[in-house]
Amino acid sequence: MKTPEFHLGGLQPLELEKLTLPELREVLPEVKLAVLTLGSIEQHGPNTALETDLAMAHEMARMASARLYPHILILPPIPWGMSAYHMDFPGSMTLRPETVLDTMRDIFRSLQQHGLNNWLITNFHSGNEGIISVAVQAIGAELTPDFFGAVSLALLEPDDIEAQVRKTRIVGHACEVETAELMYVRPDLVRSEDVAAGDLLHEHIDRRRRFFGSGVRLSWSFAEGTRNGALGDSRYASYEGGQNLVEGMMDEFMDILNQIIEHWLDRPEPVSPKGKSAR
Amino acid sequence: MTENNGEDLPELLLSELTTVEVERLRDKIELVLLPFGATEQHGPHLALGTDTFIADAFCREASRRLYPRLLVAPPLRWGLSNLHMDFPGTISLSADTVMHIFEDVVDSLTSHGFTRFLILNTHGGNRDIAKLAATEIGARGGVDFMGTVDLSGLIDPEILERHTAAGTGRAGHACEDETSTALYLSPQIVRSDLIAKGQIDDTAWEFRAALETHGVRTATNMHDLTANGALGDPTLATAEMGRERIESAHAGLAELIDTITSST
Repeated sequence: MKTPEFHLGGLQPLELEKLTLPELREVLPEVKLAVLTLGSIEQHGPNTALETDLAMAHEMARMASARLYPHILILPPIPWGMSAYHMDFPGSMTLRPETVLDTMRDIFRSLQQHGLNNWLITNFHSGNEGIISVAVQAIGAELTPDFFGAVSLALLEPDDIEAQVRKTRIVGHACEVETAELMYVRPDLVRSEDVAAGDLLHEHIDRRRRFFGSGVRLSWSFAEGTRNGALGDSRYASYEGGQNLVEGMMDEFMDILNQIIEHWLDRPEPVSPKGKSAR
Repeated sequence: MTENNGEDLPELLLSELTTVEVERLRDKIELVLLPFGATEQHGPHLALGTDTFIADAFCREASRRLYPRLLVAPPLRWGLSNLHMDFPGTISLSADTVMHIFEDVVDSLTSHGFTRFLILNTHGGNRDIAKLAATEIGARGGVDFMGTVDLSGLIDPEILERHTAAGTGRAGHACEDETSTALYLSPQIVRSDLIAKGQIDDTAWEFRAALETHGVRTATNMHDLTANGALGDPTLATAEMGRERIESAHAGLAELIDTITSST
């Protein structure tokens, strides 16, 4: 990593790739949860790099691992995700859904052979939400791990902080909010000289937004909604805003992780919905 | 084409570029490198991501030296490592999954106008599936070049022979050769105080060697072959040997890129 990792606060995460065999053997009894990031390699406007979503999810997972050392084992991330609707922009890459599922299945099956049976997927890309739901359901039923869940980190933004950082109506991709967040965890991926307002095609966006929250899903290309690939206006992005947002999300994420550890991992027998404890 | 060792040139990693930068550089990029590593045990002294770190570091540096002719795609950080599964931490993909990932990666990038692809493989267990991916994807059409090369295949054979002669003759994994490369490229993944000779089972090794004289390939469980996960004798490794190997591989790659781009 070229940039100093201020977001880790001087702590070190537990990362499978960086451990040797004896180091892994020593720490393995302490590991409670293995975390796999599903990233995306897709256009993020003129202002942020293609791996923005990968970097956000992976870096927040690393932050959590550092804070709960040595209980969270970080796996090598899957860099690509479901980005078919960004393919009109150069550099975007996408996997087929079956490739995502096969890759996850192989990775989790490998973990199972080593006795690692508690898995969490982290994600920062809304386009991955559908396949992650399918993965948790289908691979969970197939491999029957002790715990298998997924967290959509972008949804953890505290509303009050988001309201301070957000300056425009249409945000959610390469906007002032996401750019600020990236400034905090991977400043090398932000092009400060190329921040710009989203060049929006309002007519199309408004037509789509009519269905927001209605349960209707529409196939589309991102190029129909923005000429430069960005939403919002990244000229408003600041490091301080990003720090506040990411730390706010991390508070939520740590709360989720502690709940998972306390209520599932350290108490593996299920409590029935009717209140009858299985033990 | 001249090789440029200037410190001023940037690395060209797709994932770290913006879409505007990809667009701007697209016509100057002659070939996309696809680094192919692994996540598997590497004995007591090397990190599990050794193959990925070596592939990543080599490809980054190659893209800098040949800027802007080579674009580096995100590395495949897992490969075919079934034979290492008895050691904790090893992650192995199935052959089908690897094929599908390469298909998706190439399809994504051909849609943006990239037409030449070279898998840069650093893990012996990946060799066969990388060849299959190269020939199958190449045969589908839609690309001008689709190939695969092992990092060791880029090194001057004279250097390989000399290093083999100076070593144990039982190299191949977390050994004197790979540890030398790691010491030069990624010293942070080497635990120098824990470097130890491979604990090789002579019977298992000789059986495998006897089969190989007949060209027989079989699944030899690495745990049966070496108790500590290492082959050869990595105590013989030096950063200087690593430098010699990697510098030779850079020269070999530059020559290979010229050959590919002048013919396709």
